[in-house]
Amino acid sequence: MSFYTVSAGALNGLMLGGLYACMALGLSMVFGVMRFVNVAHGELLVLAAFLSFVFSTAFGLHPFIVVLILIPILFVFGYVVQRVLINPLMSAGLEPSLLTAFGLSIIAQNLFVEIWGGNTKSLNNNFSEMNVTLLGIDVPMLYVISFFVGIIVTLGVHLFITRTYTGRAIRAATQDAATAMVMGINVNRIYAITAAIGAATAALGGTLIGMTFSFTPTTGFPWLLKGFVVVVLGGMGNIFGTLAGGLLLGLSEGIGAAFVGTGYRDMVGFVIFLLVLMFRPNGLFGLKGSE
Amino acid sequence: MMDKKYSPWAILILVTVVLAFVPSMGDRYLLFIAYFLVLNVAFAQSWNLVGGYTGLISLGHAAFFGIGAYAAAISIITFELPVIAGFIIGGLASTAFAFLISFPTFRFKGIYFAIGTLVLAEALRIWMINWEYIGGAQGMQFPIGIGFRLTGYFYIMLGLAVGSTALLMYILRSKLGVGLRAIRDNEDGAQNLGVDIFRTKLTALMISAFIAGLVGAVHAGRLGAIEPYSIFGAAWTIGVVNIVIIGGMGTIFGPIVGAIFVTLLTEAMADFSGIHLIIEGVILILVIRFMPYGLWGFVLKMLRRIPLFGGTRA
Repeated sequence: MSFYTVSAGALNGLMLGGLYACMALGLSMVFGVMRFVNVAHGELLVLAAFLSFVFSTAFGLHPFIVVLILIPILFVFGYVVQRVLINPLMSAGLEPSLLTAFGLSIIAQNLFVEIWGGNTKSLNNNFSEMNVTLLGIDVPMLYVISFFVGIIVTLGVHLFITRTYTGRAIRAATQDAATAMVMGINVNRIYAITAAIGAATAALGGTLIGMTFSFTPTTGFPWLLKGFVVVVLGGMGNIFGTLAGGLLLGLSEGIGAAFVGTGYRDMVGFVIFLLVLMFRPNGLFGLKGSE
Repeated sequence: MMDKKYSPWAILILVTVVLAFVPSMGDRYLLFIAYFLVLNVAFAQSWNLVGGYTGLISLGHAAFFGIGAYAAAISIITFELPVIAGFIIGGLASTAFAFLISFPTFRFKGIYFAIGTLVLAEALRIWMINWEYIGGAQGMQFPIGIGFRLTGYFYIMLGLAVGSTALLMYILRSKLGVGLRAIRDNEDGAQNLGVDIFRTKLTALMISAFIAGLVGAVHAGRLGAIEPYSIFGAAWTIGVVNIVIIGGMGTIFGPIVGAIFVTLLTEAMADFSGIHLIIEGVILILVIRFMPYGLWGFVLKMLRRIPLFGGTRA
């Protein structure tokens, strides 16, 4: 193992970290705003990948064009699911919404199999063969794209949350739902919009996953776990924390895989997860007692 | 509680006696279903203790089950210990694992418990697949002639199902049981009233893990060969969560009702496993929304309207 192997692993991992941030952002948002642990987030990503597969093969469109159609579709989907299935359970504590998401994930996985079969798929695109040379290291083009998409999406969500009226309402509902309601904010609508934004970011995340890797009906589960590692690392609900968590996970996986071999690549994330849980339960950037 | 007009113990004894006669009916297929039924009951009670009564939603119960299975297999195959001793070691190994994971996962009032158990169970599964000492992806095989016949395994599993149900009934009447439910209903309030939160949760989790480990160990013996993909598979967790919630989480007989419902549904739809899980998922969501105490809770609510059964809650 040379210095080159480690630095190549680090740079590749860092770039891929953008994808991690992008796919985990929705998970982090719905938790941060309404304490909803969405264990069906992985299926949301896979749904986006399958829909992208359907549209790009049917119309011969590039996945990056298809994603422009997917974002509004998943936005509406997230909004409706939140309003119809999750919102009525919000007052009953943490468990009912979590378990409903659990049920949704079982349903989704099996529906995917029934509709699209269990075969491995990937989104064909002209970028998957390309490499970019950065600092003398070859990095897949899609990793570089992921890096920038991750940063842009994070900034976009941040600007929306801080600069718009709806964004301010989301922050109000996050801090104190009851008071926000008294101030005339429709908290149910705000929750649905938050879920919708989360699902829209999953459209991007799922597209990137489908382009960079392959997917099957059950791929959502490993991505959900990775998402939790990112979110716990960055602090649940912290938007910039999620970006940092994604980049950090990518970086440590890249370096770790150079040392322990790619077979244990996923273990790196799990070990970090365990350490953060034990020593920094509010995330690396979280404040004490922010729960 | 004083005005209750039926005894939960009577129901338990009645169900046990009925099930105990299944082997003598001589129908092997029926015995097979009955075996899965009692397995599901025992495993479901294990989940019910933490998920239903303590408010700790375990999304990694397959790990407790799998550790029990592997610890038993290693004891019996590698160290040639007696079968029953192997089963008990399976339960104890699972208990030890529960102790270890309690420190990272008991943070953040149960939120991290759901996430942590989900992630740790998967990490463990990947670890087991790569660990060559215990057979890696191939798994382990019991020597021919070791263990019991199906009837024997059925009675052992029936014993675990009845024993775990009785244990839960006993715990609920003890100080521990009061502490558990206090934590579930209001953790801050329980702490203010002097409940040792960490210790109470830990005790519940370790008991739950012991039952799950025993069930996994006995099932490993019954299978005769185990491999990590299926023994640590998420299907065990999905199954147990469905059973307890559909039957009624936080009730004593809910898991039994849920196990009967899910086992029969699984059998009825054995040829359509994909659609069967979709249906189960839909039922799960409907039950969470409209019957917070599951089918059993719904039955009790209906019974309460009949004066004869007034004021019951089990």
